[in-house]
Amino acid sequence: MRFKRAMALLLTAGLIAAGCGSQTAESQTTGAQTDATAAEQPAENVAEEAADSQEVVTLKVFSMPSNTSGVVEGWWADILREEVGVELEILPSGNEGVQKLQALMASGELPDIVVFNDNKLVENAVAGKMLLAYDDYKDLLPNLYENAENSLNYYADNVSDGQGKAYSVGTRILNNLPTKGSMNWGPYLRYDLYKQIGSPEIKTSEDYLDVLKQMHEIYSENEDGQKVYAFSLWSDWDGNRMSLADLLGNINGTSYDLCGYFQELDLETNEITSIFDENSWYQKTLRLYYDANQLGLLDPDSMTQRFDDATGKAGAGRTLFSWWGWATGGFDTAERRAQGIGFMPVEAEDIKILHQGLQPIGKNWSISVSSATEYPEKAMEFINYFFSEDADMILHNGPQGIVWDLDENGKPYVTKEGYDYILDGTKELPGGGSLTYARNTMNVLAFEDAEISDTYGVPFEYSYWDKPDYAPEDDALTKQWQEDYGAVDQIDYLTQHDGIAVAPFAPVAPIPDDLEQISSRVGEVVRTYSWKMVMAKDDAEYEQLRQEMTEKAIGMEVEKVNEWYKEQYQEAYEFGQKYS
Amino acid sequence: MKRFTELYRQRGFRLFLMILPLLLLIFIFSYLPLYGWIYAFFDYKPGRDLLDCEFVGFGNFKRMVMDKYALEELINVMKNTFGMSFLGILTSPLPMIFAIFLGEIGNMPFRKCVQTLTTIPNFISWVLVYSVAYAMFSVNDGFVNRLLMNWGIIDEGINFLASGDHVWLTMWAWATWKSLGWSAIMYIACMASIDGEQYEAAKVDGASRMQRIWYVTIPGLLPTYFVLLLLSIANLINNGMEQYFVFQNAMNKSSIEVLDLYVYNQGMAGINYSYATAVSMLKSVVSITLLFFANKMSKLIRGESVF
Repeated sequence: MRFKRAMALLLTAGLIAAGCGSQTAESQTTGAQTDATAAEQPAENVAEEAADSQEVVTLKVFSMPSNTSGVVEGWWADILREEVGVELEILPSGNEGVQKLQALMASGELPDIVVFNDNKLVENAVAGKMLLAYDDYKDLLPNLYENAENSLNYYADNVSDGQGKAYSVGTRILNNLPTKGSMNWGPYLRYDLYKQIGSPEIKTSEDYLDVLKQMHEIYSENEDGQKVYAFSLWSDWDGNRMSLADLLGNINGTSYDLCGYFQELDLETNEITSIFDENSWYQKTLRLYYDANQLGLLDPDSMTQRFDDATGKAGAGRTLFSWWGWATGGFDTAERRAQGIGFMPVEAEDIKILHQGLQPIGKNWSISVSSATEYPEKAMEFINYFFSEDADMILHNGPQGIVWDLDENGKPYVTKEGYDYILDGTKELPGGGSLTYARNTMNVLAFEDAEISDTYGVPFEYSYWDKPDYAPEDDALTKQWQEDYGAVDQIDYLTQHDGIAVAPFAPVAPIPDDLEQISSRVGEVVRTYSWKMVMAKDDAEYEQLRQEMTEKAIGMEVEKVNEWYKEQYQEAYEFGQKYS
Repeated sequence: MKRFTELYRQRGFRLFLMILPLLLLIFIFSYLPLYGWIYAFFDYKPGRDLLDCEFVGFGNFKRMVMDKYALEELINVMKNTFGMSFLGILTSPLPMIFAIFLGEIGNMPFRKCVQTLTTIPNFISWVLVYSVAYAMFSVNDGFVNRLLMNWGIIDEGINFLASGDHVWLTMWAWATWKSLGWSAIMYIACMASIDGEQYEAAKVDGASRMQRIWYVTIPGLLPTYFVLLLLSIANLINNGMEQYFVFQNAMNKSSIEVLDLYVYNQGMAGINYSYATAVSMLKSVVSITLLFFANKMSKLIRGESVF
């Protein structure tokens, strides 16, 4: 008996020990976050030691748009260390960035540098005295005041909780529209398959589905025998709407950014429609996905998967359609494109692709310095450097002297070596890191790609520069497309066919608290019902869900939010006219 | 000093000193957080001082009952909470039964192997469980669907994860898979303490194996079972949220949202801390009601009570 008892005890103890063992193993595999916090400690020590000798300090950055985390290393880190004497440590913001930021704010202290994505958040942070005003450090910020004055003024007047100082500044400033290159939205089709079915005419965006169906008939499985779908969606970007249901609107001259969460703005007529309207583009997009689902063209995993899963499928050739050129998961390799296989924009005849418009005060991905920072001067110096034209040339195009250089007239050009890095996006530069990693660290830039630099007289990004004669030729896929469309690139084609709708510059003020609450309640309903509608079994269910959604939203007083935004938009529109 | 030594001589005071650290802990972790309830009476925005926020009195509580949609949601949430908890209580003898059958396995290595394998899931976090679930049940890549399709049982993959049907049952199944082995440990330890002579006596009397389980093992385990059952009733309203959080999506939301998850969704995801605090206070009220109810029952049935 004794023995039995002892055995039982031993067994229990052993199990607990085994359990603990498996738990540590697990935290090693899952715990990117644990790793990050664990890594924080030594990094800090190193930084402190370095501060004594060379005065390199580590600034912690929380950037909402960023998709990376960890201490920044490689060629960009070397430049920062040399020019400003700082090192950046990006804190993970992940796909629940807002929640994390709110938690940081509730704790009363923000990391050294914060990139917001909503002016409402900036205003709350100002109200909580968590940010430093740029105006108090003006002498450290000559570049910022020279290059972003409009934005600083805007933030001082409108997003400072009534204090009249600039606590934040917009990024991706753009004062002139690009004349070549590609738009954000395509829409992109698998061009080789589209050619195979005889490039049928696409009159309006409603015709895409039929074309996709025909494409699916000749290509319903990829080389590995996996099923192919027209659309593979994801839900992790959803805010107060199903984010991917904006897209038919976006290619039909409609903007969702200027009149709140539940309305859309027709850029041609300047009219505002509620997304609960049966004829709104939002509902048409839901209908498109629903119809696609009925035809078996929608990936059934759409609702449960994340962006990475979906683009992974795109990369494996399992989708036929992509709204964006950057969401094809690397399917368009140089090899495939040389064989004429890959995604290219295929435009409906009545296409009107949204251009976000001029951003004289930048995008609301605004950047601020925390009042809790230990190194306010260094942080300000970093901001100053970040807003200098030199730093932006480097962020857009890589280190000078390697990827690009200046000719005898002081005009920038891409070097021969530079094209190696441009063509092979994974190739490491001296010092480590690829060409594009630097701009992805915080995922914000002071100036938009097409913005023209005062110093150099050309746009910031190399793709807008004159090509030297040693520049590599376009690949077979691009050439084929150029031939079919009679245009050099997407913007060229759209300009010829009047296919671009430019959003007006109209900075809308942050939403008041009570309306924000209504919005988030209605948002939950809209998000949930939108997906349910897409996945509905038949028309009757679809219609019933649609009505329920509308009823609930109206019951929760969505009209109040919509009315407020309508008024605000008018004001902002008039305000914006002053700049354009 | 003299007074202190006098005090110290008293036995009660020495005992008090011994319990003092525990009282402090209870105060810090169980009473101090109640201060947070104050947030329910303000319209709190992160970043601002609480006192700079608007005082709304009982506004958030009124909203729970006055607002048609909020009330609808709350009723639904309570239905899910109690539904899933009762399902858990109904099936609470499972770990005991599992432990008994485990004890009957004669082959020691096999028995240990089974026990270890069933205990390990308890240490896997829900996030990982979900990724396993995704790998198993996603429509075209999940191996369950692939297997079924390869065997020709179904033509199209079944969307297990994005289905609004039988959510309570599937959630119960996941929870049971995760915790069965772990919950059985208590019973295994308890079985070891049953007097071996009882078994020998039963054997001499010619009891079969099933009879020995029925007349010796189960009566031996029942007291433990009832203690655990009472504890789980006290925890009726605490379903936790991790499991439901990772499994939730638009299709199953209306049947998966339990109180804890609702509070999270309202507070953290919906950025409405004050309302979420008010809802979580409701939880305390329900818990206290349950406690008094259980206490009363105990008084009626067993004639003794906690208070």
